[in-house]
Amino acid sequence: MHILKLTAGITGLVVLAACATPSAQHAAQSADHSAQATGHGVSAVAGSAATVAAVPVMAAGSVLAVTGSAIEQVGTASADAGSQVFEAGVSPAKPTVCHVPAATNTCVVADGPPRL
Amino acid sequence: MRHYIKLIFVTLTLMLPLPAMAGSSAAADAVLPTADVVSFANRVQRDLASRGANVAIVARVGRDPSLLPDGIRYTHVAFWVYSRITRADGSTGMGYRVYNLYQTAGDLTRSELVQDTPADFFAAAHRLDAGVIIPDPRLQQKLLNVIASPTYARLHNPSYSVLANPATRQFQNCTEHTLDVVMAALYDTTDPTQIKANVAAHFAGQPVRLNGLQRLLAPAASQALTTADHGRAVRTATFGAIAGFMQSHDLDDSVYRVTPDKVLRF
Repeated sequence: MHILKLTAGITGLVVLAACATPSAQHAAQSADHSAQATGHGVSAVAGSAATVAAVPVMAAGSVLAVTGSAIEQVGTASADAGSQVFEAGVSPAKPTVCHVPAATNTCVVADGPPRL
Repeated sequence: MRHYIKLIFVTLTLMLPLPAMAGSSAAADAVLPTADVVSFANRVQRDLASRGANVAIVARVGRDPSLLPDGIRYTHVAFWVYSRITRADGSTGMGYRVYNLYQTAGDLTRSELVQDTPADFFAAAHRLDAGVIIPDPRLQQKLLNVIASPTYARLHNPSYSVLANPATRQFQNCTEHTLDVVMAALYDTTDPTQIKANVAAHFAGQPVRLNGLQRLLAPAASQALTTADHGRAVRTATFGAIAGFMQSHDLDDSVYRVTPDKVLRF
């Protein structure tokens, strides 16, 4: 019974094998389909061999990128303010919690919780 | 003596699934028809586009869900980035490009960063079921800044483990790399050690229940199953754990699931 349990457990792990490479799988065969949607347009789902370049839209200087930058600055300022509040609440006498040992006698302390 | 025989039996039994792993990718060819995969990939693309998502985190079911450990539904996670795509014939179109970390064919203890299409992403799916996280638009912009920078590749550790500990740098899998990129974007840092400190402090990995013998013998089945980077408990990064992390810190715009005929909340 224990052997069965053990085998089942390991089998579960083995099949977990994530991140399988597409080269060992069948690549979708250039079956082009097109679709239009309300927010963005979408087209050309093709086999990877047919694609020669892909440029992220936000990085290409679109209106969205400008808007995003403006929002990002607001978010950063907000996060900075939060950090100051966070630091102000920590007593200097509180012992440092070492989250990742970086080297002998040193450690890396985590930042505060993430926020935008 | 009986224990010794038992151990040999167990070890031999453990070897049996190995061909299943090595061949699971090839076997996946026959799981779902290509036309269905392409249609589903387009459905997910359309859904993301209709929500105006520039960067999303998408997960697939790459293995029979009944064989996955408790609490784990998806086996592969990647960034989908809305892009202007130019094809070999010079035509262009808008669509999503997928930024993956894949195990290296022929050496499953190594990985590489690979870009492919949504249809390629679902090519090995065992079931047409996508987990989707659309980050807050501000985080999308930050993520894209990282993905488009050398930091994206710099955060890649090619030493692969299925159950990599996300709080250490010893091994990495696709989900952990995704998490590292998210952390780099959130904290505006390129320092892997600082990223790991922040993961250790703020991210709760998915517990995976394994006893000592399982942990001892699993690497005999495949070195990619090592848990050498864990302490007593094994916790790894999963789609669900990343979704929970983002929701608990208000970093998401939406988290949901897409099937061929429904869009569901978890």
